[in-house]
Amino acid sequence: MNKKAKIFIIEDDPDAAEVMKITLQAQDYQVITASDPEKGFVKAKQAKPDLIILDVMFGKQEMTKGFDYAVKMKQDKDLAPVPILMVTAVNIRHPGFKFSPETDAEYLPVDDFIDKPAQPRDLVEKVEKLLEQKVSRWRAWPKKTD
Amino acid sequence: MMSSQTLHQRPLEDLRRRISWLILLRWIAVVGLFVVIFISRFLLRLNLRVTHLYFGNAALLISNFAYTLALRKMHFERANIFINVQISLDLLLLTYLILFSGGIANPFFLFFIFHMVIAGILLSNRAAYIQATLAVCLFTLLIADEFWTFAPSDPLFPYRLSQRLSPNTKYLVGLFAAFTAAVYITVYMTTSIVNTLRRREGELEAAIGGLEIANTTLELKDREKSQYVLTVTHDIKGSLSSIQSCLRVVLDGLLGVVAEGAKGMVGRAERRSLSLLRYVNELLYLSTLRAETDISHKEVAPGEIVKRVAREFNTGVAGKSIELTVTDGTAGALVYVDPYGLEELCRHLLDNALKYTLSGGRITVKLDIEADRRSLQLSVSDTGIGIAGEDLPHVYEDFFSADIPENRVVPSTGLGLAIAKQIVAMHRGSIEVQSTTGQGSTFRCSIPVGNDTSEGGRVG
Repeated sequence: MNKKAKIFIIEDDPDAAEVMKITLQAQDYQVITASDPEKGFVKAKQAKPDLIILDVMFGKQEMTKGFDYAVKMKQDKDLAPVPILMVTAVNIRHPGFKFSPETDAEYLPVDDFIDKPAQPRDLVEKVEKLLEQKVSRWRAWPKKTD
Repeated sequence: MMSSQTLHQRPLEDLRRRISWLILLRWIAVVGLFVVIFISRFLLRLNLRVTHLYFGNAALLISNFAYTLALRKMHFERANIFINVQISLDLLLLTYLILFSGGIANPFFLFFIFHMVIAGILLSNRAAYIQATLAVCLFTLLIADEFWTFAPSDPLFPYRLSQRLSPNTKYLVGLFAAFTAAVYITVYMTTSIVNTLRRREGELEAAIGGLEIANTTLELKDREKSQYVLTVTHDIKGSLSSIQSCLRVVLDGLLGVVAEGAKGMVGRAERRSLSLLRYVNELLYLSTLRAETDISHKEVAPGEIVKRVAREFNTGVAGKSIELTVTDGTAGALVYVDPYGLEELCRHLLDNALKYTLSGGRITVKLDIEADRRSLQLSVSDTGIGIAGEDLPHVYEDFFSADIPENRVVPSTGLGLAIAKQIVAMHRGSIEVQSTTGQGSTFRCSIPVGNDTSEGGRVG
């Protein structure tokens, strides 16, 4: 297992970010966090992480900002190969905007989803799986690479 | 957009319908006139020279054909002229026919009156009075014929009201006055009734327009309300998630060993935050379901969905030693259905069954598809504690929770079955429950499905 892997967390809720950070650090991962996706994007390009954990929602007005940034990352040559684990709020189905990890994953360039609140065991499991996979399935987005 | 379009189309369609009606009446007149000629000639054996009558009837027939053809190409702007021309020509033809079948001795001159009714209904008030004036002029012509006999006819009735040489002038003046009054009064009465009706129609249309606006406002308000609920629950949920995660980290000992007593209390706090999270999630889901306007259908194998949900429950069932069996009678059939809705429906019914079934009990899930592939039948039966008869009508109500010990041990959100019912309602399906206290309950759902995306349930 690649225990020294570098994980980048973009999450606007500081408590949720802290919990994920502690959980992952307990597994000896290196963790960097950013609360703002714009700054996070720049920071991620420099940090060259092995995995990005991206929250789907940033504030009330921009409920899908996480999606936009997932797409933006796949269009960036440095970040495109990095797998993304998206943190979603389960059962959030807004009128006119339907989303379910089971059925709509193919439309989003993320490698896996984790429901909020992320349970430590679940989080570690998914992180390990994606680190083993190493390269994002959506490296050549909008085409699937595997 | 729709309403402005129909507003423009409605008068044209209306006019077309009215003209068609007029044309239909004229066909009846053609047949009627023919029958009258036939009866007069062959049954009553009146000495009738019918050339003019046949000619008049033929003219009526041909003109009506012409109107029928013209109606198809009619422009909205010319519709009024079209109706006016028709009624004027009808009056002229009527005069012609009466002139050559006995003049005013022929009681068919009364037909002028119903032409006035038609004019009053179809035309503007002014046009109707102009037609009335035309009718009076033509009637004057018929009276003049009594004096000067410019239409040498074989009368339909073999005598004249007056003798040719000395027509009864007083009588004819009286007849003219009565006729004129009758014509104008008819037009006046008809137009005033029609005016009232048209005004009411206008008011009704305005009221319908108002209702449409009110409906839109209500929909907007509903959406605002649902947005409000979403925002509030989203905020609560975000904080609850963080609280639960923070407690979990402590409980997992990631920050160092926690004393047993402290662990117990933190554990209680975590359990409470988890049940609150569940409550918020269900409330959030129910309000989004209610705010949604349509269902997205996908081609899926419903059997796979139901089996997957049941597998999720296997671990939960194990803790209570309950036997969970799934009977899938769909044989892997693919149908168009809302996969997420079906999944949630199944999950909430199983959740409910599991909660009220004691250790050693059985839960049976059955999925079948109708032979015509029009609907899915999902049933979830348990051998649980059952539902009391007085509670049965309330099980689908929001926040309903039966007053039984089980609900005190594990608090119920009271939303699970409300969600199930809402999902079924969105699919225009049905759900029913049968239960015997102490023996168990069975929930049966019937969900219409489509064989392509255009079919299946739709909301609205």
